[in-house]
Amino acid sequence: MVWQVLAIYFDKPMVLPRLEAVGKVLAHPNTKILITGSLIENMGISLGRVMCGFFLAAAMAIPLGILMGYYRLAERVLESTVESLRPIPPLAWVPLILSWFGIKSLADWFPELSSSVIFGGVQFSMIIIILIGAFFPILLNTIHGVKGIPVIFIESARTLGSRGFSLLFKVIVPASLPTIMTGLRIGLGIGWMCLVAAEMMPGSNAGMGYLIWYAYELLRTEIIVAGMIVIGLIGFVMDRGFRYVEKKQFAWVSRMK
Amino acid sequence: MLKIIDVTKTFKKTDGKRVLAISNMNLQIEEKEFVCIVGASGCGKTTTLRLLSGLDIPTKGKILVDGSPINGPSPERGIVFQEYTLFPWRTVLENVTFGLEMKRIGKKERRRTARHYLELVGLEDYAEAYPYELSGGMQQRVAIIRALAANPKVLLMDEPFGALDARTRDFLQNELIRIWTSEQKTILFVTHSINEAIFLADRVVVMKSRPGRIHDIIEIDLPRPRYKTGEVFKDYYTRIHDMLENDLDKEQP
Repeated sequence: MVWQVLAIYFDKPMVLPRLEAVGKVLAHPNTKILITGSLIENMGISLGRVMCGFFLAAAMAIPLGILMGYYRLAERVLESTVESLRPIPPLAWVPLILSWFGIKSLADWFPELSSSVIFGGVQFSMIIIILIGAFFPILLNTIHGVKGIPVIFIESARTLGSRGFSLLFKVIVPASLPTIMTGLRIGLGIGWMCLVAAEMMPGSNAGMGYLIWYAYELLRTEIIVAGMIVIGLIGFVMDRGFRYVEKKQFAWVSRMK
Repeated sequence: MLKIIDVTKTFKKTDGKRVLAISNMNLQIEEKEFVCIVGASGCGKTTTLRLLSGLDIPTKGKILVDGSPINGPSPERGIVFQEYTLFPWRTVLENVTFGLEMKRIGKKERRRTARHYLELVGLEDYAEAYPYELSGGMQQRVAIIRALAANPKVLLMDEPFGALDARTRDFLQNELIRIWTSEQKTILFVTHSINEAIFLADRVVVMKSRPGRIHDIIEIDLPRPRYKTGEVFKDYYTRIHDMLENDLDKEQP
């Protein structure tokens, strides 16, 4: 309300767009915006990127976290490396990663993907940035989760004949899964933020971040605001999705004495 | 069938000092025997149990099961702890089948065996419940049959009823005698309750602390079912109580 009143009062759509202009952008997600493609296309590209980076991060961080959480030696060896890399903001990696991988996308390696709107635009450098952003929360939560398993569970399992892989997959993983899920949720959220920011960097040519940056250059504030709303909504929905799974699957956590 | 021969166990404390938990222990337990270990805290009774389970290794001496030395934990020696150790992410039935899963026994057979044991302790209606939905006494009954389902030769129990209220405790002691009679297992049961030990055991091993060692072994020559208020029962109680009393006195600085 306040927004709308101020927007009408100042009547400067470049600074403060009217709500109906923002609404119009949101109401037509399939319309091509500027030259960057439609809202839906940009959303798809961003989501495709974030999923690729996120799954890669999970695939690396969870096994490493279990290793570091279970074996003190592994933790001692790797802790300093992890702790020295962790404070570097994911975006600070962008220049280096761009200089390594340029704007090569997955389609350069897998030509059959180039026709796909979502995966055709998945740039390698973007994936790496999401990976870095999502990696550490997943890793730290996994370590924390594994270390938090009561020793007595592991001892009980061992006296029941469990060892090696069965101990890993039947006890260690399920016992630490709730904490790992929290790591995944936080990791996905951070990965999403990193992606949008990375898409605003030079070298980007599509995605939600790119869309709002491009709209800024053309002073189309209604597109910026609409884009921000979509970015926020996607982040919110992803977070809620994870919370829903956590609540449904891990009811036992909150009831544990 | 279980032989503890000249076993000594020392632990390293965090400050680097070595603590003698068990000194030169010898004990033999026969098949299908019910043996209780009583003693004050710190007398090494839990350590003894952990050594027998294979979770800890003796510093000196050896432990033989049917003539062969033990080599790490094994489902042949099931253990029930005082703490609630059911896996909270598994249903009651899935907890009971855990040991059978480890033995790679087929799903159908696993479930049949588990149901049999659930019936044995009257918990068949809770098969699909999760541990947090059960009372402490129920959880311990499930923990007992979880160990039994893996078909162990020996059942090691570390104060399994220690966290329960008196009535539940009495009830489960009777249950345990019933299970022991029907399943024909060897049981080694650690407790600090003299009453519990006399009620359950064929023989009571009295341990003393600093260093942990066997003070005496007392045969309980009482027919079952036993009554804690009986004359002979009380005599046994007084005898063991006096032995432990001295130990407590010595503990005072």
